[in-house]
Amino acid sequence: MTSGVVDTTLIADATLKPDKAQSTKAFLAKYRTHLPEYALREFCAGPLGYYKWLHNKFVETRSFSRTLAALGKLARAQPNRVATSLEAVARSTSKLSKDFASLPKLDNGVSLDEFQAEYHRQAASNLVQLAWRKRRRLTDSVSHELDCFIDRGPKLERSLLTIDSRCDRKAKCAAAEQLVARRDRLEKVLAANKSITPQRPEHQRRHKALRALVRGSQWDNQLCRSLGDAVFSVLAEPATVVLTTNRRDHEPLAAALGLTVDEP
Amino acid sequence: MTTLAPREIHEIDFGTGRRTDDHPYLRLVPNSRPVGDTPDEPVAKLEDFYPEGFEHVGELGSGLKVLSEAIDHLDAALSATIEGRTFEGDDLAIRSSRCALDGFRYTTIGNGWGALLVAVHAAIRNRDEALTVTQLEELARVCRELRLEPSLSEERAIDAIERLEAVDLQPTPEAFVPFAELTDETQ
Repeated sequence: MTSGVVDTTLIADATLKPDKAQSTKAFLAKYRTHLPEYALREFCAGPLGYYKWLHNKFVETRSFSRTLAALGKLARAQPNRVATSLEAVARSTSKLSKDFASLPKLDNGVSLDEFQAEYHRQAASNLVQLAWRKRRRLTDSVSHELDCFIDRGPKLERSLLTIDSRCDRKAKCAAAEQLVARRDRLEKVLAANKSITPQRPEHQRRHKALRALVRGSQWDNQLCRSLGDAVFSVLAEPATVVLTTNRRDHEPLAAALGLTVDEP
Repeated sequence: MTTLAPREIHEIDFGTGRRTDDHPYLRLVPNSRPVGDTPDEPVAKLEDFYPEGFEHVGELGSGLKVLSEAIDHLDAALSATIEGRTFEGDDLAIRSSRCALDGFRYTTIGNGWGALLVAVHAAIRNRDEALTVTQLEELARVCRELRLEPSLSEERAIDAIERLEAVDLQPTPEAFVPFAELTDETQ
């Protein structure tokens, strides 16, 4: 069986996207899979963090419609995609509205909007906790462990969800050390990253971080997050496949090291 | 030091503290609680489960009542499904999901209560075909556990939700599919 190094996007799909979980697990089952712990660091700071935000927005507004409006404003997708997704939310919650309307009235006078907010707040909390539990079970192994990564997971503080999974800023950056130990691969990925066109802000941030490692410049632990997709190619053993939903971004980096990329 | 002893565990009515079942089972529990000998004798006090001064006894009673209704519907759905009465089974599943949603409104009962009832409601709502015997059994099982321990922790509720997922139920509301699109920053 071919070995595959799994990136953050697949962990997010398998744990946080109800419509993609099964197909993602089936895709991963085709490989002997390794998950660099860096992916879990990214997962907690990124996808899991968005659901934490969603939970806390429901707590703040106590209103489904106002939370949805805030989500629409912050979403980075194209405006037409945002509109389509918001319509899909409205369609999916219309069933819940009908269910709610059929219930006997309670004395506390909770409106449908408040009820939907509380229902989805609880569901967001469930989803975050389930995702955090599953995160290390989805692959055959978790590799390249990071001693500097504190991974305590979600908890409630003053009714707000907090994800206590973060870098220990005082510790030496383990991701940087792992990459520097593979200097020849690091240099190839640095060159490949620079040749990507157009250069988006994430490519520029990654270039700065990779260059600091290659030159042996003073390392700021905050740069760790900028390494992003480069980590997976540099850490992948030869003949390993990089597994992702984001072929476009991974392919140039993987190709520089003779690796292939596969996506569901 | 607290010692453990085998005790008969009963389902009880929180309003009266009386037994509502005839079929106790044994479980190891702290050796301090009195056990009633007859069905009418109180076997537990509210304080055994909730802190003294718990103010929401009314909500607890109402919540447990609708949860019991949900369990009755699930049991009946299970019988109907086993006997091949598919439409009736599905109709009863719809009824049980309404009860789960009704019960969710009594959120003062506890964090685990709300967590589990959202999952039960969504799991039934998300079905795209009739629920299987295994799925109905698991739904009824988690609801029974909740009735026995309405104050269960959110962490234990998540354990139960994982068991729902293990029988291919989808306990996350449908709205989370478009939510995922909106929060995906790789697009």
